[in-house]
Amino acid sequence: MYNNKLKFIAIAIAVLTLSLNGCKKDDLPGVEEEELITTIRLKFTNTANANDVKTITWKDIDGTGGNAPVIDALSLKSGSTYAVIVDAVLNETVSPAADIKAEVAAEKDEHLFVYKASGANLTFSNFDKDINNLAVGLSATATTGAASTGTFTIILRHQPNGAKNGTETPGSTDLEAVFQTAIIN
Amino acid sequence: MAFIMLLGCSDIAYGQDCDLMLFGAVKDAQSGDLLPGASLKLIESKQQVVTDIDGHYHFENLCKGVYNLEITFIGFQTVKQKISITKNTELNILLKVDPSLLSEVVITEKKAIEAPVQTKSVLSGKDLELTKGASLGEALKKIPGLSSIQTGPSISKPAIHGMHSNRVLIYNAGVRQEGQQWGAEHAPEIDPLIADQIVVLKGASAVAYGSDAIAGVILVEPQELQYGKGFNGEANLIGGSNNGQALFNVKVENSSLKNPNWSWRAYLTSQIAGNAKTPNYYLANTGYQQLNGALMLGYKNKGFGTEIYASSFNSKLGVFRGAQIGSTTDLQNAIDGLRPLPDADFGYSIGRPYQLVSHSIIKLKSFFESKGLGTFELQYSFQQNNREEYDQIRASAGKDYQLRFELSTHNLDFHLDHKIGDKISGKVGATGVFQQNFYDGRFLVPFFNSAASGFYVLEKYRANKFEIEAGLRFDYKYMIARLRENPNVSTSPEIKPEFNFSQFSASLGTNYQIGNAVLANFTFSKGWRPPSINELFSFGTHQGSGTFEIGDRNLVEESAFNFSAGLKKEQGKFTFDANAYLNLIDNYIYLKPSNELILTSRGAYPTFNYVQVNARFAGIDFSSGLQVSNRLQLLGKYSTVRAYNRNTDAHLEFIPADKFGLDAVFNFESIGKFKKSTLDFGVSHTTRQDRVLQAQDYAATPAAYTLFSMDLSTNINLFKKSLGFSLTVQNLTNQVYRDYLNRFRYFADEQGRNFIFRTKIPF
Repeated sequence: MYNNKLKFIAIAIAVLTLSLNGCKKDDLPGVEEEELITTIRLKFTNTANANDVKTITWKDIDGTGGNAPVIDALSLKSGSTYAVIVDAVLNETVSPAADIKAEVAAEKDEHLFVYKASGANLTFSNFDKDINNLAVGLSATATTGAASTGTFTIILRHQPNGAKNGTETPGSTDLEAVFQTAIIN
Repeated sequence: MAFIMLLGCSDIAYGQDCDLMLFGAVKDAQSGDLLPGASLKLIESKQQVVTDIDGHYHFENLCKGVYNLEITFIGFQTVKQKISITKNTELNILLKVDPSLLSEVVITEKKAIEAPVQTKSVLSGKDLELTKGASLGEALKKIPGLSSIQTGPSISKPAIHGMHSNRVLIYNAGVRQEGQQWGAEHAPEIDPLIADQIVVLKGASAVAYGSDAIAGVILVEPQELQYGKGFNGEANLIGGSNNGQALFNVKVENSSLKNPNWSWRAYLTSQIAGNAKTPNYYLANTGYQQLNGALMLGYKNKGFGTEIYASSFNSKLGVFRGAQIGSTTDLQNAIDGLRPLPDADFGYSIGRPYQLVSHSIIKLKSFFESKGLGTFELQYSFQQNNREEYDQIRASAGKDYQLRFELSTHNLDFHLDHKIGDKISGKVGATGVFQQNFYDGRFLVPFFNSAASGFYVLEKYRANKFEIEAGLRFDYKYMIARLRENPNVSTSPEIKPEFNFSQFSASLGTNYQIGNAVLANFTFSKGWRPPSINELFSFGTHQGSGTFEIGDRNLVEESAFNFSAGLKKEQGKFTFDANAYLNLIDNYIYLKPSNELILTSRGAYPTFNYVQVNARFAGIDFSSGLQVSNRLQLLGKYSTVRAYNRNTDAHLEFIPADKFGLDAVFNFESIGKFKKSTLDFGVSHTTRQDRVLQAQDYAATPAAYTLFSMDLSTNINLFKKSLGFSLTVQNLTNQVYRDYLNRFRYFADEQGRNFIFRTKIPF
């Protein structure tokens, strides 16, 4: 009887010890903000003039908090058509920088780039499609109207678990970048 | 002996001296605790008395002769015994718990020294049975003044008088639970099915339990180990219709008759639940799974005892997918109804986002009785809490958790329970805690080590009509954290800020017996708590909350002054328990919305800062019962709390709304094998929390709602055992509603109708 009890204690302690496992304790873990996007770069190429290329960047190199992001302004010619591509989406807080564009490209059916213009005479169409024939927005066509000023916003929506339906509303925002925009003659 | 009710003098003349006395104490046969309020009747002399606060009774003016004595007490089996009185006689009576009759929130003086003079409620017996299958936070909502902070249907965190997290201490089988209180989405890692009773001490309970018990203490208490009672066990099978919950629980214990010094018990709980359903739709990814076990082993001999307790809690909790937002625009769209809910059907699978939480405890406790000094008790415990959070992220396949915490706590407690003469009893003790935290993944709180010690003394003086208790405690805490100056920048220099906190706590409480049945109590207590690690260091977004939270390293201790007064009557046809409290908290720490927006790559987030203000909490808890007839009892409940920022006189946020409850309980006559059947029909009404500034919240507070519920329970005698069956229906009318204290109220409705069927099989 006495031995049984001791065995029982030993097993209880052993089970408990086995269930404890440790974190790394010597060094602070690396800075990891999953999902963090520090940089987005877009390229606008005039379909009538291959030399008319506008590249704009939204960059918040120190991540959330800290210094304010650095944002380029966009200026496009009125009455023109531009081929737009999402040139790069990066997390530059890690080295080498994480290529978020590649992650999005690998999960096209869970992502959507939403293009919006406000004030500026600018519309977007002709988006690339995923396997379900729903827009992705890694590439698009921008059409400018009369001279005007305003903003252009690009939003990356993450719409996993079959939520994607071609509209902006499902899912959550991974990135929202706003650029001052001028359409000039 | 002031409570003797002389219903009539002896009219049985034996022609001899009629000045004899019969006296003694009434005790719980199992725990040996004295039972105040038990009723004793001498049939022949038509005398009836109630035991006093010490469990003593006293009959006077008895003639020589043979008497029939009947002892009754709520929750215990009635004892009838013949006694022959020829001289002054002392008779001590042991009452056995009536397992099927325990009912209501019975307030007992169990463990008289352990529980301080204070407002307390106990959930035990049938009431506890009818919460089986629910989480601790949900079960406790039965008690007036208790609410819970919810994060969807699977995560529920208890709140006392509107205060929660670090202000509520939870003792799990005698061990101060050191889980992670760093977020409202961190629910206590406790299996309530190990509990034989759950005791809630409301108001600051600093002296005996730890200085930071500003709002109160929750004691989850397994039954004491039984010695020399042989083998027995119990199995529970529970099923819920709303989320397909299936629960299996078994308890086995043995203390052989040959070897009554040893005893052991084991518990095992396994459960699984799928997506919960509101009246109109399923909530995506709200299932959970749990596997818990506990072992107790004890040795007891004359004046000495030792006990090992080990438990392991493991759960996987799905977090409602519809509440995952990437920006405040998502939140606004959800509130405006522009954002569709994720499609969901019923299913048990859990995907991202989810939490894996485990908590292990090992405890070693010994006591030694010394004739002259009292009982020494020494307890060491080690516990480890491990939490992994899996976020819904891009390219998640093949990725591990995004955040992990590992919190280890060593606790050493020593105390001496002593008696000075007949009237004074008390407790002197010391406690030491060492704690270490590590994390991995995204930053929420830093690494830290802390060491704390406390010394206390608590003494109680008892007289016939009243008792008074006074206590004093001193605590000291040292903490060193380790983090990068800017936690989000890897090149930022590493810093190791240190903190020292110390203060006194005190308490003064009194109970006073008014007449035969009414007990008045008044307590004053002062408690304090050091700021917690998240309040000092948070820096970042909480996924799902849409806020950027910023801690403050210069926060100081929070001090609470608690005044509470109560009246209660537990005997007779009409019973009540009323309690009013006032809590003045200096340097109350809370998360204050600031007007600043912080621009992130996900858009602009509102920032919230941890700040300190002086706060005032005041409220009333009331419950009462009316025995309408032999078979029908009505129970009423009401609780209200008001909380203010004393600096600005504005209301504080996230405070429970007023709540009313009414229950009608029918006790059926036994029919054949069906014994002790009851039907409880309940209605509860929660008002709208309108004491919130619109600017303090994203959306208007939810409307008031009324819910109906039903409990039907019976016992069937089969194979010489009493099998218990019960059916509970929650939200009987399938009411669509939202609750202010649910953090996911912006996104979805509360759970709809739920049938819960329980079977209890003793063996």
